[in-house]
Amino acid sequence: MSLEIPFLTEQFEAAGYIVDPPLVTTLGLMQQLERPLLIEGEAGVGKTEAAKVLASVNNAPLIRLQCYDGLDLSAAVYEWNYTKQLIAIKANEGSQSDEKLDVFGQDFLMERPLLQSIRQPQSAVLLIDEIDRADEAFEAYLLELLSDFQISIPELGTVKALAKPKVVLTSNGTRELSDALRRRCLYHYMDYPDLNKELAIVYARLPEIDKKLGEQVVTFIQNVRLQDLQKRPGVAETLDWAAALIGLELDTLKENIDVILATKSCFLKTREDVAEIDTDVVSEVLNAVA
Amino acid sequence: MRFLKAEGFVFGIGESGDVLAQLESGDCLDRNRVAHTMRALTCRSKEDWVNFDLVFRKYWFPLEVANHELDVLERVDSRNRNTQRLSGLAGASKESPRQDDEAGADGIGAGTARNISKADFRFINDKSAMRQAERIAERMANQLRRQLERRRTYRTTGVQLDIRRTIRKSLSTGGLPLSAVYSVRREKHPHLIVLHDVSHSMSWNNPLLFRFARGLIRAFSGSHAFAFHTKLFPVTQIYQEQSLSRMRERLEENNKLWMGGTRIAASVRTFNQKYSKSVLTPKSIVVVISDGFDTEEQENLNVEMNRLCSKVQSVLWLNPMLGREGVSTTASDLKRALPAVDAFLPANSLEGLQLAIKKIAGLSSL
Repeated sequence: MSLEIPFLTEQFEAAGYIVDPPLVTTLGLMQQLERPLLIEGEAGVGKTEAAKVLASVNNAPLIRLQCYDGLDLSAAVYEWNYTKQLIAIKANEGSQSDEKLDVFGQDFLMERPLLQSIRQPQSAVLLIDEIDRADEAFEAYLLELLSDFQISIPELGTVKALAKPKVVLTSNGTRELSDALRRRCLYHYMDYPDLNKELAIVYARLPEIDKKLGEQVVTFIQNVRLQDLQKRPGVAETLDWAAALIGLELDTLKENIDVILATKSCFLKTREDVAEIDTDVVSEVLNAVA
Repeated sequence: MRFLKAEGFVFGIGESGDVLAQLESGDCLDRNRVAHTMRALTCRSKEDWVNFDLVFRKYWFPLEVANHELDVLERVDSRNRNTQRLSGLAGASKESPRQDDEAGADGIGAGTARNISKADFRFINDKSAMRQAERIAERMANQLRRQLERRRTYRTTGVQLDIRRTIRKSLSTGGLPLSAVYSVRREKHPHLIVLHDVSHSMSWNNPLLFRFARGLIRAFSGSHAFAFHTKLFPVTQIYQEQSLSRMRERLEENNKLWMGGTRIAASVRTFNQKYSKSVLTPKSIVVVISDGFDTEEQENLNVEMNRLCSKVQSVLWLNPMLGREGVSTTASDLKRALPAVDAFLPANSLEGLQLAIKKIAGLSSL
């Protein structure tokens, strides 16, 4: 089975996602080898979007599990419908039927994203977003799913995947993930895009933008990333800012320092960073903009 | 594949098989495709990802790499020349890191937790990495608080009914909820007292340990902080400042930080005499952050620590000298010198601070 890299690249670009050769190769391998993919990178570089577009190009349902501190199995895997069980028990009390009521059967099971993903008749894309925010215990629970595409439920037994889902895990690197999890995944590190790629993304997402303004915005943001910031602007911030400038009907950044200062909150997200990028820095960065 | 392993890449036979299968499949017809495929299958971290290109070329194109290494050496040399000194809350430290260790903790962005968690604070020269390490240090206490707040206990009396557990329990009585289950939050927050050494010898690691101490004080209400060099002064309100820059200003306004020697014994004596009655409880956990360099007699410190330890649940001493390469003193040596202290923990890296957090979490459950 071929990786079909050119075809995959075209599909992603048609969906508005500019994909570079290393990522498209990894996505191709992921589909061919049926292995999960771990994407690491700073916030706003397009990790989650990659999974969404993967679902879109495969015409597969996207099942998303947003991880957080304290995420447990009842929110991620399954939960018994206790109310339904109770009603069934009460309804069965007066029944003359010999049939034994099984309150831990499929009828009483409520599927959560992980279970839902392996019980799809068609291969789904399972996005486990920001896995680094979940507890280590939850990470350990995932190992069975990631290696064997199955989930063990004590009352039911092992549930195997009807169709293996395409699993994409994302991480911002806020904590170290276990080697066991890394071993089960293909790995891709997503960095901030270079100038040409970011320009292509801006043109793909905001086709109405003036070419000159687009170039200036991207060059400006690329230079802002070189400053000493707590949170460097990602692609999402570039797009937000570009959209804001289009809304303000601006055609050039030159001699518009006031507008840049007024709209810098579109790409700066902390008080310290807003203070860091003052008039002097903006002027300096503007000089680098062609 | 053996060359990659020799360069520190960790992967199994399965990955080797996958790489060979891909190379045979005819998909990898050019050098870049081969590199992308091998990288996806053999890398497990940002560090691997970044190093892969060089390792790949080192094996297949050694001549190219030899030239590249010359460039790299030039860049490292110029970076060393421009190395900035570690800056403290009240100005730059006079201590510069060793140049040969500088590359140890380089790297920013995602995966940084992996890169910098084990790095000695002295060798994090990259400003962004340093900032990130500071943020992680401050966040640790918040994570501990959230972890403790999540702990719930279930009782037969209480206010908040746990419907899920009540219904589940009622299954054994045919659905009749004969006994209700209540969920009660475990309100066992640690009562922390931080004694923070701000003398000159501690200046090289001060931004990180400051953020760590500030995180502890802000995360657990009712906790108190005291800073000391040759004398001790309360800093709880200053550490509780919302704004980091305002906190720095207030500290610099009122106290001469990072100057002169340390009188730990005298400072602990001041604490015992002046503040202990008002701030200590038998459940208090005292966290001393100091390198232990004292200008007074060791015996004085021993007496004062004994006095302090008898009044509280536990005393933890976080020492940035522990765990440092070339420092032969170990936690057990310090324990012999100050037997009243419950534990000496390294405070030279984020991993060391994480150990301290785990220790506090364990003590809070008692």
